[in-house]
Amino acid sequence: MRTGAKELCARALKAARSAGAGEAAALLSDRRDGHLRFADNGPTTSAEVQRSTLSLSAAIGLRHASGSTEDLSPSGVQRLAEDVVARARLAPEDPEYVPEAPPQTYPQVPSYDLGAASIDPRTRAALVKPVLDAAVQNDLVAAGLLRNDLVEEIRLSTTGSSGTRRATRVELSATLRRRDGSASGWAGSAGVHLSDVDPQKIAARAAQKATAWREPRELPPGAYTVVLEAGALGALFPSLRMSIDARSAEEGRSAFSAPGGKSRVGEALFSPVVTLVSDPQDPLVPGTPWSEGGLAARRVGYIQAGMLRELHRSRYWARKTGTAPTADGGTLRLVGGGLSLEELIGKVDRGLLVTRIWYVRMLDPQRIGVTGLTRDATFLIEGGRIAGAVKNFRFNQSIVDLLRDVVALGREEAALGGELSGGLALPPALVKDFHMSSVSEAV
Amino acid sequence: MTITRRELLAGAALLPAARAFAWVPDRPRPRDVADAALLAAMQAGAKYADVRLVRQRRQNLATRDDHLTSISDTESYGIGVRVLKNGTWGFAAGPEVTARSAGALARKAAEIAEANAALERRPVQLAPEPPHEDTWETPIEKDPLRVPVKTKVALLVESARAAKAAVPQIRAVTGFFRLAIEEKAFFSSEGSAIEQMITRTGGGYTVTAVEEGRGFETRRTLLPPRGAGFEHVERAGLVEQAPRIAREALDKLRADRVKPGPRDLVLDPSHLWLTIHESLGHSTELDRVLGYEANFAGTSFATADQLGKLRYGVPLMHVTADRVEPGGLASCGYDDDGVATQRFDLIRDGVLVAFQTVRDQTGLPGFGGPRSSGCSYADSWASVPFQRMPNVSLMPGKAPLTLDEVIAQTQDGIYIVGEGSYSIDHQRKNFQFGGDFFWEIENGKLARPLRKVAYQSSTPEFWSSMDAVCDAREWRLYGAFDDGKGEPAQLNPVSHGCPPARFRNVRVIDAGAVQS
Repeated sequence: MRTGAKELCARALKAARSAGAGEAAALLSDRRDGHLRFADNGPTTSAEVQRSTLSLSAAIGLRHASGSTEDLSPSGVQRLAEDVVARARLAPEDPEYVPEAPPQTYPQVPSYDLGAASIDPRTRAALVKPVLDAAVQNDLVAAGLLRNDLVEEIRLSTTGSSGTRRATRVELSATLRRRDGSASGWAGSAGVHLSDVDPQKIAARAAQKATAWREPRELPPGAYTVVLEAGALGALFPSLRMSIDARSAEEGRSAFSAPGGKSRVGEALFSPVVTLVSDPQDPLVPGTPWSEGGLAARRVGYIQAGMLRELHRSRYWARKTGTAPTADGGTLRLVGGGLSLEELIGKVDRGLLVTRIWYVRMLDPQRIGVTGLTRDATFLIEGGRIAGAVKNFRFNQSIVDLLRDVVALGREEAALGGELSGGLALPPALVKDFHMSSVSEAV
Repeated sequence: MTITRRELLAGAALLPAARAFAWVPDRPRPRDVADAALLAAMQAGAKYADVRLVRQRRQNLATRDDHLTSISDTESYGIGVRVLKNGTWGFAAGPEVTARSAGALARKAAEIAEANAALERRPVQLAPEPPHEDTWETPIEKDPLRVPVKTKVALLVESARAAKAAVPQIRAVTGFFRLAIEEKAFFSSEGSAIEQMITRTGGGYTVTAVEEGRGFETRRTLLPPRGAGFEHVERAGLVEQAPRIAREALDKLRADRVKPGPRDLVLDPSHLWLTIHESLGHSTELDRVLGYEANFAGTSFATADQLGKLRYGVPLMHVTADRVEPGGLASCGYDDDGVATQRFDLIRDGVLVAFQTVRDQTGLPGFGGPRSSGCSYADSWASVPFQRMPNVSLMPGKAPLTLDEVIAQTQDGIYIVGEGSYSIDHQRKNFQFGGDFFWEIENGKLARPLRKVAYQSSTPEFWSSMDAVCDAREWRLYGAFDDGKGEPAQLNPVSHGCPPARFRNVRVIDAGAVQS
């Protein structure tokens, strides 16, 4: 954390108080991000970016506002505080406003790696080179991304809460395609540590998929048993995340609504192998130490052995319904079953291996029905073995049904490969009755 | 009226006080900062360099029913320096806008380019562009950030009250405004000095109707985001349309589910823009065509060798790209390569005639001309400019034809209004779209609302089934703030104009039966 960070936040809080705020919270975020993007077996864009943002929220009674600035000079901080408080004063009262949490003890989050924090332009080039070399050796064309992020934050509030966090993240992914565009394979990994990315392994896996996905046959749409790689499963999860909300369930606006203003918490809706938790101290996907309104983040069990145990409960909805807010750290882990991907494939008489899923959008929120497509390399499984390449599919699938139809799970990894990556640890999954709707010719 | 840069820098006398440019009195002048960066880049061995100073001010405001739930004002100001050295790009950015910091960023960008040069296979070349010294700004009547918060909240709260008063089954009304002003100063080692101020305004609300036993349905307003001021919102009649929106939410909830099968579709501009965006806008991006997006957004079914040959659809299909359309979200004077913006044909008489391009694609297959088409954009000072979609629009039909006439000429079909679920494969061919409201058309009349409608098709098949395109009287401009692309992902605001059009025998599915 930069020198004087705490004093800067304290200055913002003091200025907000002086301007008339009843309470306020300040968050200073220092980021250093780097990336090297590549395509056509060479570099395309590459950058190092530093950003520092001071965010401030303030309330006067039930009136509140927030704002942020990148001008951290004394006058910039003063201006932000005065502007935010002035807007709060002008804002109408919000009957749902819940005051900032009292002083909290925040959990220690295992989210920092010195190796990841020290990545420089030459390290990035050295990490990408094996991927480009592998593409050339296999007569394939590589496109992909190496990125590394470092964020250091401090959060202070006028109620006396004070917390810091420091997080690194490294991500490498690559798509290797045949020169004639007839096959494509993707692989990638991400994590807190520099050692979480292995360029040789990623290049070999992507090349192996692109090479094996030869002359894909067209299978008819219909229900298939599928093995979803972790990233493919992860692409489906943002829609679930949006739906596990107590308020919308109890107001009749969700897949988890029950008659009479109730929710389906307590019902065994899913397969007994499904357990879904959020833990800020998860080593694979560490969360933030604080949650909404400065509450300390805590471990939350949403699904336990197939039973829906919790829905996300905001502070307002918790107050209104006389319950406790959930206060998770913003991440999710689907607890794995310990099997390897090969062992999952070995359990399938006839089905599909889906390696990547793309463009998932909500279709029917009443059942968390989503649509999307398989992508890059999809394979037929027969007799527990890969039996050949198949063309991709569009699917229309209820996520509630999918979690009900999970047969077995593999080992968790930090999921990557969808549109909204990050914050998800998932295993590969064996699922029955996955609904393919039409054939996609896309490669 | 054209304002020269000199007049603007002389004190912005022609502008209201709040619309100060990226430079402000207590900060260094952009020109001085940029000169330091350009000098440092050249001293570090750069062949080319450019500098962007960008100040972004945004206000996001959200309401639920009768109250404000959040209001957030953010300001971002920083500098991004791009350097071309040894045939390779490097980019560095930071928030300290001083000559000293700009020089350091230029040296860092050169260091990055140097580190990556060993990986380079094809040295970057830039298409020629004359240097420009100019200014541009979105024509607006009302600065959206100067309109009082109370006025904005009142519009949404009054809309919610009107919706709930009209239909008791409305359980929730959530509203929002997104207002943004982007000021940027661009300087290049080739002598360009361009200052622009781009204003964008969007907002609206969603009503949710709930009835026990039937579940819930939503319906949204049709206020497209625009490159405009707050006058755009005030003219939309948000409060006035709320009772109708509420009634339609309940009608939708009580409607029968659609019977799957091939149907004729009449698509309203409020819906068709998104189909244009996904199937035409993205498939004609040259970076996708060449595999530069293969790891994330995907490639394209349109390949470079098919330029001038690939049939996208019927001969009455004419699609343009532009960054000059009044009100367009992507409209501006110059792109982030410093190229003057243009209007050009993408698809003429149903045939692909151009791709969208940027300067560093010169010499690559599909580039198509001596000059970039001006499609470079970076979503902040901290982002690397790359190829982004301009406004891509379906031109109106030449023969007189109104929406009412198309509906009257349709025996058995569905009229779809507004956006719903949308998804397309990573080569932009197989797609599925929902909508916000659906009318069954029977014997030339809107017979009854429908529920859970979605349609599946593929890009060339769909556009080859278009048999009616309404004329210019029915042409409307819609769009989105947040088109995602690139790694690290960036968001691009973009508009799409079109008239209503009819498509024959499209595969319709029941979106409520997810195994369809």
